[in-house]
Amino acid sequence: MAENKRVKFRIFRYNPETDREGRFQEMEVPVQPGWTVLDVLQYIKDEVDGTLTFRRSCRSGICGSCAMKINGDAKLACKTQVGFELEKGSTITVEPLGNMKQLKDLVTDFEGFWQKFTKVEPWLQPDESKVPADREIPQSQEEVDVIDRVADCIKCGSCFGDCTVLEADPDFLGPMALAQAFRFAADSRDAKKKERLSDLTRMGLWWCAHCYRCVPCPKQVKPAHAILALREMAIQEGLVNDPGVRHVQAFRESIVRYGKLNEAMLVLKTRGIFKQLTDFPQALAMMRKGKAKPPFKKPIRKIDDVRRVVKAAAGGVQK
Amino acid sequence: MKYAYYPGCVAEESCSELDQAMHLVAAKLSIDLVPLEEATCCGARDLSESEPEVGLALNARNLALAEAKGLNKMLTICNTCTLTLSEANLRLKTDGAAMAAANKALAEIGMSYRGTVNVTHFLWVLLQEYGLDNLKKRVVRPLNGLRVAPFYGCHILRPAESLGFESAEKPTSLAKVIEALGGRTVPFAGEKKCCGFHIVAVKESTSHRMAGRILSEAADEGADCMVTPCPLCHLSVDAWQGKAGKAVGRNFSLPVFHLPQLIGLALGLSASQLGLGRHLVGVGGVLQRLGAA
Repeated sequence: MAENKRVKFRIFRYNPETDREGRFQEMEVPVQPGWTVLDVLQYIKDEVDGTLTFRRSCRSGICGSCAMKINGDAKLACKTQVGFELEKGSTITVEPLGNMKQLKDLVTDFEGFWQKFTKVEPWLQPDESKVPADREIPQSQEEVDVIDRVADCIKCGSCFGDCTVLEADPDFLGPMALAQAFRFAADSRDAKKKERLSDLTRMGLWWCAHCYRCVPCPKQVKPAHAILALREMAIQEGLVNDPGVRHVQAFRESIVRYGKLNEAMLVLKTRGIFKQLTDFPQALAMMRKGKAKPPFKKPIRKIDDVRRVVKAAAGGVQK
Repeated sequence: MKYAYYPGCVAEESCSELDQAMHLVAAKLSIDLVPLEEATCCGARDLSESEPEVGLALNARNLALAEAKGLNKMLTICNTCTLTLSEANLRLKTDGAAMAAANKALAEIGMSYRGTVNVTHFLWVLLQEYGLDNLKKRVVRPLNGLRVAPFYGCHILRPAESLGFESAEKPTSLAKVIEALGGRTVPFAGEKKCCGFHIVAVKESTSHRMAGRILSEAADEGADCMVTPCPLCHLSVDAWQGKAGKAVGRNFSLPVFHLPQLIGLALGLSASQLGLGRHLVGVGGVLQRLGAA
């Protein structure tokens, strides 16, 4: 049998009754081969310090209780091998999830997380007149496949805790709520697709910066991909009165006209002339450094080739 | 070493100092950059989300332009170009139907893509092909313990399944380059966070707060300057540094270098050759320290 290995941990401790702010406690733990970070926390609680507080339940990646920040990234403690984390350095840091209020040690307050979830109305809203009286609404395998992956979400909060937009803007819905919005908007049985997409556009669908911090999801839900899919759906539904959509449209227009990005035109079309004028000091500073280019631009050579490829790829429809 | 060179739109427009520096550094390192005059914009994440098939066909064309020149490697200097082209290339190489559809569109202009090109970033080339020992040998003006914060950004790391050059959780490539040049790496919490560039026109205040937090984290660790492999990140943390500072209630003056500029300084190139005067945040302090003023 392989021997135990002594591993250094830095664990975030915070007791609201006695501490003004949290601190890191360093300790060495004899780690047995195959131990996860959750095994370590349980060992500490049982053998070293019974006051260490964390959430856990199933220990097998199903309940979503033990999400926390391990070496800077949100993950499930029960799915995280100590050996794997040791490849990044000799000390393993364990902290509570980000973007949530800290309650005690590794436990955070999920209230905001649930509020955002509720905002997207995460329940099926079918057209009642079409629901058969005697059975469920059937779905084909293909229809299930569309939403199958996002329906695996266990609401662990990992994506929410690591979202870089939420960090700067608490009003953003965040990856979990948006992925679950997709789960219902894309459900073949739901009758509220357009209303949902319209509400989402208003609530910040286009604020996601596609940084992909939410993609290493413990259940492979990949919220960023669901957000991209929602945007594609929103455009198809004609919900185009949003700076995010104008930006995407200006991008396409620029490529078809010039082959390249025309930065000045892109910004102007996305923000509108008025907003752009109010930003004059910035524009002037950039102009002085030669960083602001005029919106006049020559197309690349063979621009006709580009237009023909775009036309053919878009199915012959020149949008 | 020969590469099809894909600088991307921003390195040709508002960050043209990056393109300028890249050419000079490539010459110093004997890396041959073959221009693709007819290449288009990669469409960034925007075209991938509104019309994925159009984005795919345009990037198949970009890759086919390199292939037609007999080149099997395309070098980019922008994170978002790296991801968008890598993702398109991966899909073309692994999804027969997607490749067929893209080639059908390319047939309209008498072109086709056979899937023989690999997309790489200048940073990866340094580590994977050029070699840091080789780089070290050419350093004539060591960075002299300059404290450099490595700012990776997003699209050179994530999603890992589309890129996979290094760990998206604990990247080390920039740190290795900084040290090869004689600098000291300043690890900071924001290394792999998002600069907010992609939402600056959509949700400006949030975007600047995102950049402001990154700058705070680097400044608080005592960095003298920051280095980035991406011109979009550079705009967020250099051109808009004033706004980023305001957004988080601070006043920064943190010089930010494009990766080839930092290397160029160590290789003995001058500030004006590297276009350092085009930055919004002055780099004079760093230049004086290196004796490059």
